[in-house]
Amino acid sequence: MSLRVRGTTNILGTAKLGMLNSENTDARMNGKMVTRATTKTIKSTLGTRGALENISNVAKNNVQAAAKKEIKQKRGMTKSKATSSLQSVIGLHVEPVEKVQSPEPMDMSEVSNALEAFSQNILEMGVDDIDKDDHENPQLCSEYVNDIYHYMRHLEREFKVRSDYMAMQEITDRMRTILIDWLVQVHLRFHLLQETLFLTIQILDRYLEVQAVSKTKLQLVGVTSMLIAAKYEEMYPPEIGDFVYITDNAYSKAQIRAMECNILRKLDFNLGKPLCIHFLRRCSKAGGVDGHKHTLSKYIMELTLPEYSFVKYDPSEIAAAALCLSTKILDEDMEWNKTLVHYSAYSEGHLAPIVQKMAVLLNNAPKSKFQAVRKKYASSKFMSISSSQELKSSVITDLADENC
Amino acid sequence: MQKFERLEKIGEGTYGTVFKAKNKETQEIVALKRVRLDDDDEGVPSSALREICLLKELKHRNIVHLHDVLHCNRRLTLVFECCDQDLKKYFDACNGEIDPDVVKSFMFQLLRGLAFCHSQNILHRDLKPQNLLINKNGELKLADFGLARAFGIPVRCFSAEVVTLWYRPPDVLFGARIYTTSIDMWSAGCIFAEMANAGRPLFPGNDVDDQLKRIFKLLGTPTEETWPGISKLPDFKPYPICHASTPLSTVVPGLSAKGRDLLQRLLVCNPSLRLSAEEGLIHSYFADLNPALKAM
Repeated sequence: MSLRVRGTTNILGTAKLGMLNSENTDARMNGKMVTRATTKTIKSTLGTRGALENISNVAKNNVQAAAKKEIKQKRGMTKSKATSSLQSVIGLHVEPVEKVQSPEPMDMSEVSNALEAFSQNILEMGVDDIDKDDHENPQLCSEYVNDIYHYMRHLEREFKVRSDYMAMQEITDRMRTILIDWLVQVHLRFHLLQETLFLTIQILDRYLEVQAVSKTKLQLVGVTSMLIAAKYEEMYPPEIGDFVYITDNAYSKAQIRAMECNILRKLDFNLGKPLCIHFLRRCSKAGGVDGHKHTLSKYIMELTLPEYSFVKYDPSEIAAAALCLSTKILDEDMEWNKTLVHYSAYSEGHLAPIVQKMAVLLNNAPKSKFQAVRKKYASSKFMSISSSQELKSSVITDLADENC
Repeated sequence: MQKFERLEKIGEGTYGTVFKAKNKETQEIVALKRVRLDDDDEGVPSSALREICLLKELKHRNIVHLHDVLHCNRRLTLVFECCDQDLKKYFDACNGEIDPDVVKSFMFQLLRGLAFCHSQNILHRDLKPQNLLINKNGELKLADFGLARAFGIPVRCFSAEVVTLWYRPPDVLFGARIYTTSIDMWSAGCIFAEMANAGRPLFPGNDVDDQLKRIFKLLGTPTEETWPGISKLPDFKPYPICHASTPLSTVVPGLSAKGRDLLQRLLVCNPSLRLSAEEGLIHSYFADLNPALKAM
């Protein structure tokens, strides 16, 4: 461990990256970050944000809601409800719309007809309509779900990160790995949403793609990416002061604020890029997989985060490949069937090289220098998936070997 | 900022002041929303950050257009297309009378803007007449995305402190934190009735309790049978059982039978039975709508 802290120090020129590993840190954080500690206690008693994020969508968490409320009161946060409008004082008359001959009235039954037709269509192709029983559950947005995923696929292509951006950087992919390993720990410590972590890394990569960053500023870019991601995703994002603290005052609040504007400008405020976690939920649903397979897929996806060689893949590819590998490990009989091909949009053949690289990662994880993700997934909250026996099976070694 | 000549102030927003301004080069009139980034605060407010990010994606004729974001010194300036007025001001100028065709046209455009947001996984969460802009061509545009957010599927817990009281659906009034596109559909229903009545709000409650009473008085008190799971909502408490006794024809006399049917399908207490924007658009109420408008 001490080696790693030193390594961190040398490469990034700051001693703060290793701090989360020491027990002293825990004590200090408990003392200083009272609000976070409160969050932690309440959440841990409730066991919220479990490994399997509610794929089945049972309405839940009344207790959680109450607890959140409590947190909010404790933090003394109030949200103003007033809203603005681009009002104008000029009272211009609106011309009434001209009345023209009307077309045939459309009947509401057309909607259901159309839906049925759709189901029929995909059934004929040997694909299950995985949304057909969801019309009663608004949480699943069944009527928009296909539109939304279609749109997400369009977006992920539009905002693809160049896979060779490191060539123009003073920093190296190893520094990126160290930073992300640390960010995973910060994310865990702050009890942030899954989305926030993936968005953080995406913001980081997209910024590094367009802006040369010095070694000494890399950590600043990292925490600021997380600040922006949290503001976008979280109900109660951490404060800038929390990030100053977590870097042991390596950067000032003013530096973080300035970096925030800088990143937002370079990214032209486009943060709405879809994340692999979004696609994984869809794939897991299409595969009808259990919590174990879903959690193992998440573990695999997070293992790819610190790996620069995975930057070239689309989030939807990462998600599909992670699930594909996860099923191979946990359920030999399960095949990548037509339904999975349809909803993931990838054939098993397309995913094979990514699956193989992931198997190598998984195989090497126990002996890797970077243990943040593996440690995180060893906890019971994540079904202790990273320490499970199945990960020692020959399936992984065989898959990994094919790489040689 | 030299590019714009500031005209008058036109509003105070969730997180900034809105001015009308003229682009000195093009003479174009725009609306500028200013966000101050003070020395000792949390940087870009998350409401501004989300509004900018979401509007960058949402390019649609029924959604206010964000031309540009300027950043200088300690200020962010959002440059919007300028509309002549908002729906609230439009009502004020109506003097209690409104053309039913205008109601139909506005409602159609509102649903079309919403359908677009929802199909791009974005919830508005603050629909009300003040946030709907009307330009001189009779075009309606959704504005103020300060409370809006993107959602994933399945939808996870969000804040229950959203939507201005009068337009807030019963599930959210009972503290529901898992909600989805249906949240905006309730507001759309309330606005529809308000338009049909030339600006008289449908449920002008004083507080959460009064708001729920007004809703149940008109629509009947929901029960576990009409709305399974209602009693498990975080802030649920039983209300006296009312039966819907006032016919909608008395509540919105200006609305045709088909219009009342659409309204009825939007104002459903149980969120899972509420009509979606997509479904609303093909409702027979809009059958005789100007085809030119439909094609836009």
